[in-house]
Amino acid sequence: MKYFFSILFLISACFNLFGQASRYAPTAVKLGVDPGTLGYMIFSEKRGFFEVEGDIDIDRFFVVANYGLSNYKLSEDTYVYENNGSYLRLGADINFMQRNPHLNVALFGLRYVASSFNDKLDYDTRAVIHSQTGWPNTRETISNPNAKANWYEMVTGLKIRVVKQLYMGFTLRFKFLMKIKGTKNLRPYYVPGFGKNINTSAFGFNYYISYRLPFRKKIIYTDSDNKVIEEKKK
Amino acid sequence: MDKFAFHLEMLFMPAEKRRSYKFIFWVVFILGGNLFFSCQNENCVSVFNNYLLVGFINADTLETGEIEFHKNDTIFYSVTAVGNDSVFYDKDDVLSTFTLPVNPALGLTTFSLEMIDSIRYDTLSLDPIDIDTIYYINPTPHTITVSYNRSQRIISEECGVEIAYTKLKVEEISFPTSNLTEDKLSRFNEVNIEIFF
Repeated sequence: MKYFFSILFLISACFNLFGQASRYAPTAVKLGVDPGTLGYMIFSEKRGFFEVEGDIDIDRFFVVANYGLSNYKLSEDTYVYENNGSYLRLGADINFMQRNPHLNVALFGLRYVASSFNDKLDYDTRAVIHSQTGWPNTRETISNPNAKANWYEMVTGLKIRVVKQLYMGFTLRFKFLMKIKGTKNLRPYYVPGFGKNINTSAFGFNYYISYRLPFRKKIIYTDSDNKVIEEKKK
Repeated sequence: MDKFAFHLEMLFMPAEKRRSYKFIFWVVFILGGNLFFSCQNENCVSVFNNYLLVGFINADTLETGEIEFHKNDTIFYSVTAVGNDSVFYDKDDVLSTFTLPVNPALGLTTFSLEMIDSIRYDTLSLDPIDIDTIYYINPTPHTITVSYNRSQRIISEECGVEIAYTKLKVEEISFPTSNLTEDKLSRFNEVNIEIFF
């Protein structure tokens, strides 16, 4: 987490230094959080997460990174499952509303996601499905102390300027080709950033509230590279 | 509301269409999370159980010289497991396939099968109800020790925990000839270990 914003600023600073005159010099960094975390804090005893997002605005493209912390707990009479971990998404978006003077974004993008987590299952052997046998009940514990997962995402969404440099939006995600490593006998029920480990693909949804920090005025180019529109101040 | 309205002017679409896009945006924005998190289905289905299926097979040599295998109905005085007080089968069970539950808390289970050497019927009267049956048990029971790998997972919150028993191995068996036919314990197995007896 401590490197997340540093990396973003470092990348943007490099572009800033070496790309003054370039069309592809970054013009802004957008930093955001997923306010859905508040909903889970209030309404869900099982799941909690905190996710931040940062992107660098380069012409009609964005270099995007998300970092999230996650915990998940299922507590039933016969078993308790706990999962804690973090995830990092890296990727790029293309903006289909490039000419919008408010710098609204209709995006499509790709992500590579790496997640690391630990999970633990405590269960009563008498409660195991299809296992009613007269064996004495014992409480068993099994864990994955250092599990990892990775997958890819196709994302689409909107980010709309609501006031000054403040944006609101959402992202729909199709997560696919999920692979888990570092587990032995416990199959993780939950993967931070991915969700329940039912299939190797899943859909996801995030809200974002972001603040745009511009370096310079964004110039919007036509296809013939003529400057046609400048950023519209609200 | 103007403050929070979003702007699609640059898409050059008619006003009616713009309004419908705004509507779609807010519908997805408000309901999206619920729609996408509720579409993950979990089936309460498990093919695994902890039953080791032991089949007893008899081999007959036919007149043609071919060997024919067939299931052999067998009686044991009792079938138990080390660490379990239950008697899984007794002298009243005449079966060719015995279902033996392995220990879900350990990766190794030893079963004890007490053989009946002979049966004596003592007739005290002509009334058949008074026939007293005495079983003579072989002092050395047969044993089957199996090891297996246990993999745990939560099927769903409602269904709970499943253990998959795989990589079954026969560690020790007192029967002279046996054959491991299936190394997973499953509800769809016919037999895991064949014993030629």
